[in-house]
Amino acid sequence: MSELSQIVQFLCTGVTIGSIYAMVGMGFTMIYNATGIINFAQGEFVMLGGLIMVSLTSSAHIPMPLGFFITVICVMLIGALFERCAIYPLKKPSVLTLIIITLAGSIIAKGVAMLVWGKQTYSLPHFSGDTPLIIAGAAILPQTLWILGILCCVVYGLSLFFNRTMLGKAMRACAVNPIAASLIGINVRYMVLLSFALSAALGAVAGICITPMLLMEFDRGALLGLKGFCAAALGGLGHSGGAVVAGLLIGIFESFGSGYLSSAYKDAIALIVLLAVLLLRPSGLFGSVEQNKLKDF
Amino acid sequence: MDMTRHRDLIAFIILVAFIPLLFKNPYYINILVFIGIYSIAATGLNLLMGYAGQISLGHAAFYAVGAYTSGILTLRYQVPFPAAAVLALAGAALLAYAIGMPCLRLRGHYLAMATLAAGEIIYIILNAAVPVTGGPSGIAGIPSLRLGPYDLDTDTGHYAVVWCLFVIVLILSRNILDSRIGRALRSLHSSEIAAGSLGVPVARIKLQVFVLSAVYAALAGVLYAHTVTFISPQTAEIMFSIQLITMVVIGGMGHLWGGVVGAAIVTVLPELLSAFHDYELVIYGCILLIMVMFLPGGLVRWVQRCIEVRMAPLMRKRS
Amino acid sequence: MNNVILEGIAIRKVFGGLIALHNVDFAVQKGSITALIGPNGAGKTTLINVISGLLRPDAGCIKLYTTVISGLPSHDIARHGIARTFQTAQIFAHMSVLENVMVGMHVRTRSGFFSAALRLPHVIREEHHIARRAAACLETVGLSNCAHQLATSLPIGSQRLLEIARALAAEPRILLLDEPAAGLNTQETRALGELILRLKAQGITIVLVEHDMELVMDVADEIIVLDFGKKIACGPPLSVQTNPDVIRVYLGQET
Repeated sequence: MSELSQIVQFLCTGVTIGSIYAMVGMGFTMIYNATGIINFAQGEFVMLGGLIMVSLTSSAHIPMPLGFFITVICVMLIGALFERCAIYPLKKPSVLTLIIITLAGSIIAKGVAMLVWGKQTYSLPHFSGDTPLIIAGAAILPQTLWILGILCCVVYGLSLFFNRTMLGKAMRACAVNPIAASLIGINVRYMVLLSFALSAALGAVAGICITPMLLMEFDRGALLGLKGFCAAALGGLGHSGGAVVAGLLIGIFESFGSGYLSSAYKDAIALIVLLAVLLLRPSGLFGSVEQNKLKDF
Repeated sequence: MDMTRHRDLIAFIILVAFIPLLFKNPYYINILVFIGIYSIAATGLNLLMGYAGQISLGHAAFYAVGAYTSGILTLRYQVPFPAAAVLALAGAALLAYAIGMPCLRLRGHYLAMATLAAGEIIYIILNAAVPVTGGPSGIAGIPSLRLGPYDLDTDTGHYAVVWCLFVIVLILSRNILDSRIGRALRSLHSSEIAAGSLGVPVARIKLQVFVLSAVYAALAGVLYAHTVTFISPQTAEIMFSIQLITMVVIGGMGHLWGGVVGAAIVTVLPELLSAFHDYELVIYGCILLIMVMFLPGGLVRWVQRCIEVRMAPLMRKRS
Repeated sequence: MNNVILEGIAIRKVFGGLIALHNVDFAVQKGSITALIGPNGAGKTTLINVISGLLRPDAGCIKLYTTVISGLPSHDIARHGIARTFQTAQIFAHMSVLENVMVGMHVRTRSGFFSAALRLPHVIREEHHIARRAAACLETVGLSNCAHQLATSLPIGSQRLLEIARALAAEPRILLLDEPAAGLNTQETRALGELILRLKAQGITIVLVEHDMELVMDVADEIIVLDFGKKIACGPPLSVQTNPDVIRVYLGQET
């Protein structure tokens, strides 16, 4: 394998996994913008998405596209349910309380997944076969193209939603100033619910996309979630576009790092990036330093 | 020493001294040893979380660092146990200082994520640095507890060491809480701004309590390593950090006895519910959720309040 | 009679595009009560925050006698003898009233982490001293009878007094009061005015941000008027009251 083809190969692997981090990171951003909460259960949505898709398509033999659709709806409902049961009833919760609540949510999701699917690892067929395309000497799986395509659709769809629809604009208004938003008749609580549902849906899409390549089991959520948060933080918390770019960057770092440095420490790379960002530039790559000072973490 | 401050503690010491006489079964003594170990770590986390209001999702890492340092020193370098333990605590303190110094500038969610990431990095290192840590299979054959000429490798020996150390931890913690430093760290919980305006050096106090709670966690880790004589990276898992948080939340955040009560419940519960072993995660999650939503003060305060309410009519009658 | 304890020179503070303080100069006489007044958004609280070190000025400097204190972190400024209260009372919720005041003693005491953990004899002595002194501060503001209550159980008026007691425990040379009368009824406000005068008699220099003009005119020796971040007038109450600029700002007349 030539040097060039190796680089292309690493780049592709990086972009693939990076797209997943990007989607998870956007999920974090969405809930953070609507509520100021960092949802520690974000990674569990990814895990649930993957495993529900496995059950629907492999066990219930539902065709892939329909399975995709049903899975996303299911996880959305789970996200909405979590918001209604655990977040909605709280009155003026402290940050500490919110962290513990979402942590509890993530453990419950993990525990239920273990009861339902057991501890085995599941796989899913690739969306359109697994014969690699050879580009510049590197083998690229069609799934990579699928993932990139889906990421583009998601980003485009969300930007349409937030910029062109009344509902999306209302959500953005809540992010800027919830009190003012409620004064002009926006139902803020409903927007919070919606943000949980949407971000769960994003997690589910990420899970469905990545399961064919990385497989899925009940306890994968935490690490995927943490790396998604790395993306959100590197991009500047609250900045969706930033999360996408940062997610791709982290994926590429990780892929090159495990190729050239050490694969045993692969998982540490994203975390070290996260620590560096939090300590050196908490506003991330794209966030504004000034705005960041005003945020309540 | 003014004894009135420590009335509850004296009662507790008497209780701890007599409990082994009640349980002859080594299985129960063994569980009590684990409760003691976890109580030490949970009491430390309570100082940080319950009193100072700072969260750490990486405390399992300090526990593991304590366990590994002491284990490796005694096993490979024949360092006697007390010296190895002291070195382990010093190592954990240094590590906590290095992690805490930059991280504690962060607040709330960011602090949680930073400590989570730091803990996860240590977990990855423990797994990957095979020549030093033995990798995923861990280290076996760690020498058991021994103080000079006294071999303490019996269930009662473990029990005595662990609970004596817990009592010391409790006294030190209470002394700190009842001092100028303790009030300063409690003041951070409600308003860092007001605390700073009164001359409390917020960053320094946070760092001090972070290091102290890491040292407690490491002490618990050291005791674990030498009573079980085997350690693996599992001790550093996120799940263990969350278990420690669960203990503090169940017992009572910001209550001195919260740590030990929470540790007892979280340790005993799985033994009682061993038939529901697969449901463990779900049960933990639900307990955590229910406690935070409905009993945010924890069980100790709830019981106190129940007793007060019951006693109130009696007291009125007497007067 | 030039006896300036606190002096600000050309202080400037900008938030984004908003100039909150526009080259403000001021001087506070030792042992006086200086009131800082002006319409909402004039920059009064910003100035207090800059003096107490919560905000760093973008330009200019603040001197305590001859020591430059601007730019120091707030806990160092507190150590120099400047204590403050807040517009919305920032009491320590999980602590008793007495303990709240005891936190105020932090800068006046010195037992460290290790000696506190071991509760050495000098720590015990210091604890007794702290408790006595804190009780005395509560006495000064008239909250002795609720010393052992949880601080959050106090009504809002008493919470403000608690903040003052807490600041007094730091034995300040200068006390900054940010709208202490907000949310108080007439009777409570009158008692507050008496308290402020008593503190002045003890030799404490007071800087007061306040909307209640009656209180300001009763107690202030010197008034500084801010409007949109600029100082538009200063002087004794009577001259400020008749200053045409001040009247325009307060009555909203167009020029």
